[in-house]
Amino acid sequence: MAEMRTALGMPITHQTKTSKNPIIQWILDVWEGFYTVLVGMGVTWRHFFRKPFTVQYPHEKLNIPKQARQRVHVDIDLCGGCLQCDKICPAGIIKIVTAKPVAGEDLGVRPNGKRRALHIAEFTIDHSKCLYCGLCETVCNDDAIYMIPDFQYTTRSLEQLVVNYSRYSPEERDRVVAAAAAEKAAKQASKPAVPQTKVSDPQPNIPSPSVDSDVFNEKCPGPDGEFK
Amino acid sequence: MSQFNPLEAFNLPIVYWQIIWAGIIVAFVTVFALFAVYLERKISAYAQDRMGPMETGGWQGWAQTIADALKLLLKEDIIPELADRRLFKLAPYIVFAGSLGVMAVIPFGVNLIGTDLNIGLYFILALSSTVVIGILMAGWASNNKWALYGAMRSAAQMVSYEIPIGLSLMLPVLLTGSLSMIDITNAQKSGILADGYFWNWYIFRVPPFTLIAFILYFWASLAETNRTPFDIPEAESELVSGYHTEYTGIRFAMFFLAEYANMFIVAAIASVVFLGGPLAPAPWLNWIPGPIWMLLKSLVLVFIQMWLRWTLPRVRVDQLMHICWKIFLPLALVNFIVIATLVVLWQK
Amino acid sequence: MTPPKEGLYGRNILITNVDKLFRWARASSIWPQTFGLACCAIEMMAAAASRFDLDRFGVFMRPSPRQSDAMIISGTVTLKMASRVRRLYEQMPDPKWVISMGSCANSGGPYWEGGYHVLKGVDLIIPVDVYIPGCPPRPEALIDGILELQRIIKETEHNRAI
Repeated sequence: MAEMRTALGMPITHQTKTSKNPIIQWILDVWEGFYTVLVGMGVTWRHFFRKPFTVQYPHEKLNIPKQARQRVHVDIDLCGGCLQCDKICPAGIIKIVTAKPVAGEDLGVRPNGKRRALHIAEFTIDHSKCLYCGLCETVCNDDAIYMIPDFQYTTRSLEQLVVNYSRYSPEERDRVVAAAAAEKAAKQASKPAVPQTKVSDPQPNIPSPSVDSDVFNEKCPGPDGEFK
Repeated sequence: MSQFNPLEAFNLPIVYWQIIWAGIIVAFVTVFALFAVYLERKISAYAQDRMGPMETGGWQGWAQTIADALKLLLKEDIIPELADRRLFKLAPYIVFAGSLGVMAVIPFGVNLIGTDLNIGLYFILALSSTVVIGILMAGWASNNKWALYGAMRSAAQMVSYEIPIGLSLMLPVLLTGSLSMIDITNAQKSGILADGYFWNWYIFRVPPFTLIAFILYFWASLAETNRTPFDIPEAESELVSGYHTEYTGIRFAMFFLAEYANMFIVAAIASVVFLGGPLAPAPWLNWIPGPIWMLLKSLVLVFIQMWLRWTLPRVRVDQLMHICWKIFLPLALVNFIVIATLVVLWQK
Repeated sequence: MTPPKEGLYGRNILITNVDKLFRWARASSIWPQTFGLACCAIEMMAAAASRFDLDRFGVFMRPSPRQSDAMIISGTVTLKMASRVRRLYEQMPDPKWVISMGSCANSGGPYWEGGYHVLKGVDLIIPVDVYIPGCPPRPEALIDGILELQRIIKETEHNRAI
């Protein structure tokens, strides 16, 4: 049995009147085309009187789920400076500078009861590169870094998206870092010199990796790279 | 029924009247285009459960199209380096003039008309064909393959659909025995049963045939104005935006204006020829002046055009030609022959 | 930028008010290109669809760069696409604006140090007016960006190519 087709050549899949007389079939097809247009117009007509689906955003807002990942936020008081988030970040956008307190300096206790062991001299997140995966939130031991459902931080320049969450000003940061370095140097100097006489055991000769390590070390084209 | 006759009222020479009327028409078309774009955006929005313009100008975004028009006038005017500069500049004016010239013979009242040509309907068909030339010029002069594709499609489509349009418009001409738009309007005042009622309009005069002619005309006019479902000349998904791809700012605004003017014009022709134009549907509604009836009928048809646009998908090129040559043309021919026979029989 | 001349072309009432009207017109009808690069484009479509409806602000997508005022860089700009993006920008008539949407367009996003194929921020090839952070940003964030762009257009005295 030949497949029935409408006047437009579309296969007929629904129940429709057919005739063996081609002229009557033509009339039926034309009628069906006209009738289906009317059906479609009826559908549109019903939509005219529906309540719009629109949320008029600046005036009314949708509820954003609490677990929505729209922005990284750091509660710097809770942060212990373990660098876990820095290490796990796939984009590598978290920059943390920590410094040990000098001897006799007590940094107090964090709100979660743990002792504060390090200065968080700098905690910078470049929001323009963040991919909102939430891994930093997962690995944080102190729940200090987490995602918040805040998306309203459109800016006119990229610099505004690089946020330093630390409470230390740049001068303070330099000061604590320098103090910690000075103390470390002083400690090393005061250590008794270890005699270097011990000969190490002959190590098995490990051949250097056959893969050309330059491939991995090669710097990728940066912002000021090849593309012009 | 007394109608306002501006020529008698002010005792003006007809040339003055025509100049004034031309000014009125240009102003009207511009204002109508602004209104129609706004209307279209609102209708499309509500067809899709959206809200459309809401912010510009306050209440319901009423100033949206004014801002759009002002912005388009202020944009940089780019003419591509390899374009045919003279044709490129001329094309929008030809398209717009072709649309606007038709307005000269459309009666807004029983006496309110730019000029009552005795070949009115023929003039309309002839002048609206020149729009094709403007579109082809635009497509060719842009030196852009998408623009040329759009122009070729537009030419093919408009030339094909001229034939069903002409044949459907011949029915009222046969019934009236005149091509003048005023004569066609007046012939719809009386006929069957009581005079002055809506059943004297040509759409209801010879029941199935004139109705079919009206539907054919209306559908074919969608193709004539390049609107969905026949908007393949500016199909965004295939051609970037058809024949006006390379046009910026005010020249693009001219095309936009011409498109919406065209929508009004085909609706106005349909309402004059089939729906009695400025005539009231019943004698006791005669106190409402003719231009208001004319505008009302045309706006309803414009609304149906927009309604159809936001209902139907775009047809393919082959489907477009199929609809024209295998459906519209036979129907229009049968209609024409039947009515011609009836007219001859009646006259005997 | 040279300071506006005093006197005839200075800040007299007429020019200031007309300029204000022009800025209102430009800010109220931003027509971006129908142009998406990656997953942010999905959110751009969502912003234009029924739920958020960019048409409320007069933002309505134009298919041709010749008829658009703004460009929403929605997604990763690969080096191959960068020249096309640049060309589309150059095809737009003045005055024109660029919205950079999402981390990839802002600065290369997750590809910013290891991506051998990604442009490290679209502001290296075209001037960007508004940066929308997010990966991808919510449709509301895009609307925020457009409102910010409207503010920029309304604040800037003597817009480009006036």
